[in-house]
Amino acid sequence: MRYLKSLVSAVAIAASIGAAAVVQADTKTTKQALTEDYVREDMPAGFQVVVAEFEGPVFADAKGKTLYNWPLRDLRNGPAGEQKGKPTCTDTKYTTNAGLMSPYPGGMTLPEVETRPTCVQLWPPAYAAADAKPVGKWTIVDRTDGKKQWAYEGLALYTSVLDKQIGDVVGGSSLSPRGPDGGLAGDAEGAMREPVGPPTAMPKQFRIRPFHRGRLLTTVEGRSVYQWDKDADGNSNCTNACAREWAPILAPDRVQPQGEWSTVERSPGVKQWAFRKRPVYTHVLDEKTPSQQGGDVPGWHNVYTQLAPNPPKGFTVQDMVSGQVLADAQGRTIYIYNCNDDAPDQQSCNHPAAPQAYRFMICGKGDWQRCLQQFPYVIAAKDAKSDSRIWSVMDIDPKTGKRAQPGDAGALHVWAYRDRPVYLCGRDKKPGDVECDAWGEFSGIRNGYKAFWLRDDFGRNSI
Amino acid sequence: MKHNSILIAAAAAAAAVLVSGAAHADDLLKDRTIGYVLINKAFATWQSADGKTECPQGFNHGPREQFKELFEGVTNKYAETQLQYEAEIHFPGTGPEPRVFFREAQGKTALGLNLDGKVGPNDFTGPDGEKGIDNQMYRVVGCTENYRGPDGSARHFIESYMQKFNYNRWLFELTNVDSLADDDDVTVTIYRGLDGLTTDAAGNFTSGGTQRVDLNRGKEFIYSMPGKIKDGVLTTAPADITFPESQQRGFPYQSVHAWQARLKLSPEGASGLMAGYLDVERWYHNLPQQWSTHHRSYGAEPLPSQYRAMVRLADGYPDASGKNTAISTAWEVRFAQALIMHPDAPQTIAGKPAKTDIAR
Repeated sequence: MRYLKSLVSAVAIAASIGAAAVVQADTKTTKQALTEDYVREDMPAGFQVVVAEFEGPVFADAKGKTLYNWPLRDLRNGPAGEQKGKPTCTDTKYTTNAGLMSPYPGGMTLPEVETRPTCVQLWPPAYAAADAKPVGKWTIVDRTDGKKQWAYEGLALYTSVLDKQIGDVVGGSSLSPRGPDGGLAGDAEGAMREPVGPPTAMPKQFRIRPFHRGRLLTTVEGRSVYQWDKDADGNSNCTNACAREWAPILAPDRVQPQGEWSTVERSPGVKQWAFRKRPVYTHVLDEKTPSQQGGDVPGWHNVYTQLAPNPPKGFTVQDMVSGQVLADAQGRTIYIYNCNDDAPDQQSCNHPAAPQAYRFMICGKGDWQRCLQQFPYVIAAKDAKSDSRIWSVMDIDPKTGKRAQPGDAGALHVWAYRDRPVYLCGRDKKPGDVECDAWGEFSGIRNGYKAFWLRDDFGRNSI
Repeated sequence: MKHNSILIAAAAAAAAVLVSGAAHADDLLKDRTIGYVLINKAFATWQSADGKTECPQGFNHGPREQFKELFEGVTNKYAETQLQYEAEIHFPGTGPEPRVFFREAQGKTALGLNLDGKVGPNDFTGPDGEKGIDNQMYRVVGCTENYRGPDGSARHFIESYMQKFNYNRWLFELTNVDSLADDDDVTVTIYRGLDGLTTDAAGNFTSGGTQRVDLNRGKEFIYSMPGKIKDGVLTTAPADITFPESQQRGFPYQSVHAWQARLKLSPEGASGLMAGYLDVERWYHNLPQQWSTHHRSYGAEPLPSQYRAMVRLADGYPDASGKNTAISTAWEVRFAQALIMHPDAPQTIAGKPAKTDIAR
């Protein structure tokens, strides 16, 4: 409940300052206790850092549109994406698939090919002025059309036409459907666009693992980081037997406090890291890295640099044989639809604005009515409202899968996550069932459905 | 702290076994209890030396070959080819094979158990001459390279994930045991364990490891049934069970009606067969959720054709319409003896009630 209260406070603060927390490069505000701090780096004029409600600090252009890159990925039959310094997202209109997804061949005519946009129509490049100069990690790369484009750490930068407001990160996510570090499916989900942001402000002993609950703090080795209710600010009370089960994360002897990071002195000359003033530990009995199991011990909690927004009111969390999933008020598991096409420019097909042929085939063999039975939308109350931007309500025409206008005949008022509808599974019979998890191509990550995982004590479905 | 105590106690117990040298049945049965952990499991597929006895026309084609047979020269539209094939995998039909073939295993020899106590016209005879063997699943998978031993790709990976992925940890505990040689009234309890398998320096699975019982998320996998030991062979009474079987994608399980085991017991391990009527829908839909079409192509496994064969050959548990919903199946299994550790008290999941827990 403590974290729930923290989250409620965070949402309230975020709401009071607007939907997104815009943080200037040289200012600090009290809300930084609740959002992820980042390294203030030099950046070109016209760009800014926006702390998005789920993705944390991301770069944005002058209009507040989030910047993305498109890293090269090795797919089953070859690579897709961009190498450093070589943007390949152009105005070429692809009409056939590339055959990157074994066992299928290339050269097949893509769905809705007549209206298929080009890469730059979906991903406008962050063009640089002819006289622009590199700044720090920001460089300028040459495009094949003769124009200049901004790059960060060598990878060309783009905005997304799906992002409408400052703080939107709808185009792509740091949260891959494949799970962290590629999971077991490698890059089978396709070459995805990812938001780009400044480094997290934290010692090099730590790293961030984003997942549906938030941005989880781990050690660089991947072990979950924990804090204890019985500690005090700047003081550890975990000694002897406690310290054998909860290993203090020691800091180098000469380290100095850095932003939200400080140290406590456990004994003369022995320093322990503290985050937001509280000492941090790993749990020696965690079998999985990272893990949420240590948080089952009363008084101990996983640590997040930034919590994800709460799900809609009435949604629940259900325990199941492997972990926990998000569910609706009746306990029915929520599912996310993933889709990336097989063309050289790897366009996403998981958004209502994209071709729906992919989803209709995998949810109902091309029959929209069967889709409604197998994967019904999560219907929202007429007056439903979201406390966050990552959750929203929208109207959908179930016959086309596309957006509808409120009041359109047959339109459904549904819940959406990251501007995409979420679904239930017709095969699920009781709370905790995940019968439709991994349903579709490449276990549901290429063209299919994955459960909304919040915890997985055995595998890599959550962290 | 409770975990620490359990681990320390378990380590001490394991050390005691090692120090004492080879385990003896009397030592392990002093509480009239012995535990085992599953270390090998694969479909029981009887194979002739060259495969021509059971598969005289050769092995099945997989998705890659079927895709060509179905669509090459017919259409070049993505929605009508790749998406159509994927849709067929998830919504398979039950009619005749469309322009492709499927080869069932032939002959009358198969491994397995006599599940219904009868000798019927479709039953097999075991290699040892036992009549009435029920194993129609053998006809389904016997000519598909993915499932043939010793190195069928799916066969290998299902077993490999069973071994290395604790979600699949399967424990057998025998209680009320007076003798591992003969005892006509023992109790067999199945649990999910929480710990990895123990190995020697060469990577071989060893007996004497410890396993904590999963009373949290594994509650759905706990079953208890009576058993008998005769001449060192345990047979269990039929029971409907569900057991975890996942390759770390999705978290499925298999549902088996009238599940039973016949295992040769020793103080160090147990081996033999388990069998039952496998739920067709549950098993089939597990396939694409665990492994993509790409992976199924490794061992030429044609999923939609396989489904049609399962429906055709299903031989148990008819639904209201009379359609059989389960198919007789057998697995070869091997267990290593393990010290099964029970928690002191029932555990709770995260110590918090479901439905209201939004805690991070």
